[in-house]
Amino acid sequence: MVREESRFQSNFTSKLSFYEFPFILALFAFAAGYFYEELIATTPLPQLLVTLHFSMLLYGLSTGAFAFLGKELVDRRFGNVNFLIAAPSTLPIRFKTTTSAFYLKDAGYYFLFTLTPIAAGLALAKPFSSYTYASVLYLWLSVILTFSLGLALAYAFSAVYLRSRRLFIALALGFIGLLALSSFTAFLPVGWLVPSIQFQLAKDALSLIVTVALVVVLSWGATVLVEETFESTESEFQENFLDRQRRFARFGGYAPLLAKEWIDLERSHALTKMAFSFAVPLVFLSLSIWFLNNTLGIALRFDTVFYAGNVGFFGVMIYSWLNHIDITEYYDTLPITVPRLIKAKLIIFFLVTAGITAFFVVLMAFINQEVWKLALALPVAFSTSAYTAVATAYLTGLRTNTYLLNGPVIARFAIVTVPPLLAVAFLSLGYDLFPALAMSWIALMVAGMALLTVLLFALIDGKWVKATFQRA
Amino acid sequence: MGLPDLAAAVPDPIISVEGLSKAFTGTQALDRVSFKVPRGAFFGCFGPNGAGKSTLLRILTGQLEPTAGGAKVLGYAPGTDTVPLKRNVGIVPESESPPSFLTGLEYLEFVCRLRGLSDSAARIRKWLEYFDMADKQDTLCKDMSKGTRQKIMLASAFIHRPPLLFLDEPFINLDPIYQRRVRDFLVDYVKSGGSIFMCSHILEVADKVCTDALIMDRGEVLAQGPIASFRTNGHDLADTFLDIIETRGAQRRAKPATS
Repeated sequence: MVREESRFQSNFTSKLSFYEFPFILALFAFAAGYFYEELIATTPLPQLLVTLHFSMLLYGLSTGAFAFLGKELVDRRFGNVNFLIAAPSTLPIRFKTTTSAFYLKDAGYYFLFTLTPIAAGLALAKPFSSYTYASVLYLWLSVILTFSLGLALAYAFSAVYLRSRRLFIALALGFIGLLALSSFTAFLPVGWLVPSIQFQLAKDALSLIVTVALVVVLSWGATVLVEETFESTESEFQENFLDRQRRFARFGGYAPLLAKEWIDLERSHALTKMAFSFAVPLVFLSLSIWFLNNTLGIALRFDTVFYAGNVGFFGVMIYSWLNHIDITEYYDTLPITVPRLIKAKLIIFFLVTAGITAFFVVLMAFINQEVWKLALALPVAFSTSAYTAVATAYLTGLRTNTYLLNGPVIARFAIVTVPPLLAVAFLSLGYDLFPALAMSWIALMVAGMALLTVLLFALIDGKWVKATFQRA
Repeated sequence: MGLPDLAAAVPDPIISVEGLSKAFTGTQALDRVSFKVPRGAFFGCFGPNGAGKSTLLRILTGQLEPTAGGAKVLGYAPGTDTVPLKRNVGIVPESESPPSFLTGLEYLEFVCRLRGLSDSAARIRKWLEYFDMADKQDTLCKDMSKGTRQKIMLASAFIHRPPLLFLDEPFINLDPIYQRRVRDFLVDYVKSGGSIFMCSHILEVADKVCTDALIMDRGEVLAQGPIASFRTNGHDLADTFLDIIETRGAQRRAKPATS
């Protein structure tokens, strides 16, 4: 499976490019380590560590829905490609076994190609900073634990979802409730909810044991819930395409593609999964910002505009989902180009995310009692969201997941997206000190990102016109 | 719906290929391939697995860029005039993979809309009836049998009645009844002025329907000409094909010893 993954991912680029990704990560980590003293001068170390662990938990949650993935890989082929996870249909091996192997393979991949390079980069920067090698090792271990917990939680949640949607909703709401309880009250310390954070901060063995036990139990439970059925069901639907196409008529020539993409979202249940995948990080972000503003007593205030800038960044994930719902090979037989499909997916992206984005920004404005900032926060959210999604589409086309694991592409992605997002973040932090100046600069950034969005949208044609719809 | 003369305003030859080569990493898929397909031909492209047939078809339909050489299809350069070319041809790919979450009926509607066809309802009804798919028209494509998916791909390639069809193993997964039905349709289509470029391993069928043939192996053209030229000395197309491929294999095996 490891070989299969490596060959599949490196199929669109060179093998070297695929293996450059960990080096790029190590380089970023080295830079963070190099500027460590400056970093902790502005942000206290415990806060940095909690933020890092929350990010890793989110990362694990966003990549670990293996029960969905396994089922989808079995239900339909990826064009001309078949995966080993579907082997139980022809070979004497259980689906539980191949799914858990797939899970372990992916976990191993992330440990080796994502988390370890980050630790290596920090270790390499050690001579320029005041931390110790032992603390890097400790961070590496605790971050692996947090990431594994996110991965195991997502695996378990997705397995429950396939058995009972109601139970899934109850569990998800319960989990969000616990997070809220942890953020808004002192009743449930965050270290109890995510014991690896406790392990990082307090260095106690009990937290280590509890985390490992949680990961094992959740992973085992998820595997037990994986169904062994290979019976193909035959789903029938009343004709709905023409009605959908009429609804999208205002988009002219894009209407048939939008109708098809929308039906895909509905019938694959991806709309629910995507809305959930988008909403959960936003709930996390909302709670984290509330937590940072109200409990740590730090001087900086993370306002609604700061939040709005971050909301936009999550768009990458949604655009990536849109590219994973269905095969695209049949488009090669039709008079259509790859750029046209990319643009149709971007229109769908805006239609799916605009409402959720606005809802969360407005909600945050109410929580922060900053409704008056919405006039700036909403344009910030929409411009960062549009800019990030269009930049992702420009750089990765229809193969987002694959290209974002490619070293040079991830480097270009970071160069294009991180500076404007950081600029908006810093300007929003200075908003209370220099309101007029910050507001003018943020407005300028919004205009700049809007212009770049239009430019990159136009450049998609030239960049992807020769691309094929073949996945492999 | 009316059936205009398919040969009207179509260039002759309808396909011309000159020195076409395609190299993948470590593999020469096509090596200086040249041939012409006359207008109104039922042109068969044959060869063992890995001969380069599907690669050739994908280059001629603008799905792949050649490494060297060029081609003209209906007067279009496939690599640059891809969209106008695809508007004017029908393509049946090697693997039957219609979209997962549309029903058969919806996929044909989708194809008609993308092709800008005005009388789509009549066209769709005709092809659903032709393949007896009325009871399967509301089934999601991903849940269809391979044969039904193949029928959907065939219908989507025929529905706009183009002057040229590219078919990669069109009879695969079809039962004998529908193999015969598709074969009859293709013969009538050529009689009405249409042209076909077909890759197939089913030489018995090809022998009956093709007017011209090209035999390839390992990216090279080994023989080409009217189908009659492959039926000599009491041999049929299959016999001649096997002779040519075995002779070439023997030459290849002998080559290292002599060089």
